[in-house]
Amino acid sequence: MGTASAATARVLPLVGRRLLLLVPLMGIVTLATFSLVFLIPGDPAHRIAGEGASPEQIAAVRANLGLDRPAYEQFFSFVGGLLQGDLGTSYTFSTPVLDMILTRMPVTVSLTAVAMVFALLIGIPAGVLAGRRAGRWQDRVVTVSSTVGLATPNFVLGLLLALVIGVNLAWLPATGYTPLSEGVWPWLQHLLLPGIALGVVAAAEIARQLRASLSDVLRQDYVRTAVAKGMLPRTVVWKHALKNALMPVITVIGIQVGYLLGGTAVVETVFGIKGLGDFAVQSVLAGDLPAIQGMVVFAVAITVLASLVVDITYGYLNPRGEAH
Amino acid sequence: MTHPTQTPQPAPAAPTTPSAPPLLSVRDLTVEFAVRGEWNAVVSDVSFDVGAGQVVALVGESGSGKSVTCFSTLRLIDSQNGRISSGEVLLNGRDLLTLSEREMADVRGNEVAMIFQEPMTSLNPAYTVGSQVGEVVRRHRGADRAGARRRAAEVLDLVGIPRAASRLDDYPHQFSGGMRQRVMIAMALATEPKLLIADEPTTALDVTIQAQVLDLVRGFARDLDMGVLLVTHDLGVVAEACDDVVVMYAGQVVEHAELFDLFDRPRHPYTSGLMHSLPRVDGVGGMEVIPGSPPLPTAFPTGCRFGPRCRFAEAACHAGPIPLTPRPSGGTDRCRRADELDLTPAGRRA
Repeated sequence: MGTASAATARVLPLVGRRLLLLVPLMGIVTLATFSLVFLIPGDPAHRIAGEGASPEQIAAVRANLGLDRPAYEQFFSFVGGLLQGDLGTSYTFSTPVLDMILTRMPVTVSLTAVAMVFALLIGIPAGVLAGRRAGRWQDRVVTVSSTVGLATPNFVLGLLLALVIGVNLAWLPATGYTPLSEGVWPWLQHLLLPGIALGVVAAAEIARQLRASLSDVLRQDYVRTAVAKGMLPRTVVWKHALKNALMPVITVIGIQVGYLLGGTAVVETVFGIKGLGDFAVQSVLAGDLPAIQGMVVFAVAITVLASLVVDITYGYLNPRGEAH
Repeated sequence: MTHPTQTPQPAPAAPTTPSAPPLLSVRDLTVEFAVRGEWNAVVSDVSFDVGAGQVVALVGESGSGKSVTCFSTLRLIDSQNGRISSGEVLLNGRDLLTLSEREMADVRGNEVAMIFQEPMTSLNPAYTVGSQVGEVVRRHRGADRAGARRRAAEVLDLVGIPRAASRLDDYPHQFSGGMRQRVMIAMALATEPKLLIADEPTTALDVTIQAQVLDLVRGFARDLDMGVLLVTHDLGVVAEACDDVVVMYAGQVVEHAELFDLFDRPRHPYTSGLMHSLPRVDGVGGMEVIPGSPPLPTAFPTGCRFGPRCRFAEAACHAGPIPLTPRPSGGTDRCRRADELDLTPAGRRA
């Protein structure tokens, strides 16, 4: 129908503008992250050198890490490194932070993807059901369940799933991770429980938002037009109403990507998965500044990317172009 | 089909007693709505016919039940708050009220199409005009994508959208209100329905566009031999476009007559009041306001429902329900003093 290319033409300038915006944003984030060094209590050199280290040993470590140099010098070398793709070297793992992130990224991306797919598979049908039956018992069931879903901390749900399904019933592995290269089922098997634990909040949030927007859209005149045209109920709901109702939901989904990434820290710890979340937790516990900084910069980049994807999707869904 | 541009003349009245069943026959339709858990009849025992090629107006103030009546014919009443409690809606003799939801969906947009009051909000903002028009053809005619697109271009051209073929991929927001109503009409006509229900199709449009849209509807009724049920509160629209007029007040038919007869010899004081509330170019006796406002369905008077606002009302008018009685010159009215009152323009001036 030629509409896809029209939509692309509408969306492209938006992408360009967003990418340009990324430059100052990353600058601010970098500065903020760098300032973390001075906000975190304690002396990293002291911590790394160990409990019984002599002042000389600590000074040597400090000089080695460049922590004895003035702050602005440290900042410029940090930014200089960033521009060359160097996020510094982890104190605890003694590996370049970027390498750490890149090795662990597939794990966390897998987990987040499984969680998001779960959230969409549950959230969208539940939201559609509740929206269509607004005020009736189906709506109440969905609303109550999503409230419970939102209120359950993901570590509680994770522990529960790991214990009951992973250990007691032994249907699915309770811990660990297998890369996708070793087969889809082994990979998915390990990610189902953590994915559910991580995705429940997003599913609940999507269902709530969709319920609200769909029940509103279903009262619109153009939905009545579709019915009056003789469209079958499934076409009216899943085509005419849903495309309009999804617009606010897309925003929620974008925000949820950020939350999911944050949630991996807890869920990966519970399920013993060596992903980015686990890396972040380890780094914070160890006071591993380059690792923390690298993680924050990386997380910001992902979040900005997610909101870009949201805007692009918006452009395709909304023919009036111009997202918000 | 020709492009209907010439001003349509009111067609001669269709015979009131056709031998074959009329295209649409609404019989004793009663529709109730729930207000705080209590069901109130918003439309009571409404009956009228629409013949093929005939334009019938359903006239009344807001709250008279005219829109509810036309939505009920297509069973578009919100099932949570409203219900059709009795009556028949016969389309070529088949009662639409007994059909399953699925069968009803096959009738909608196919045998009976509908256009609405608000062209600005009646089209889906997320889909192109071409796909929305084509969709009906695919649904009811089993056309493929290309065929539906061709038909969409054809009907959009027919309703007078300039360069129709090049506008198929445009979205509703790229059209003006008048053009959107044309798109709605194109969508309704794409399947060549036997009956078109138009709920105040010109109310939201400015006057020049109004006339164009009415011309279109009128022209298609003639060219396609399509029956039209035109809901309006505007007697000017009635005079311009209709053959038969059903006047509704407080959920009842109060007068039903052929157009010229109704204008020449109104027999119900409400009809006459409506006519005299029209602004007149010659300034003679125009713009009289009917005092008071229509009653709510929760508080319909037990006697004549128009009684409390009627300047001819007597004590007996309030005593009990007024039956619908035949008019001497054809049609029906619901006024017990109809025979003694002279509501003709000459009579009122006297």
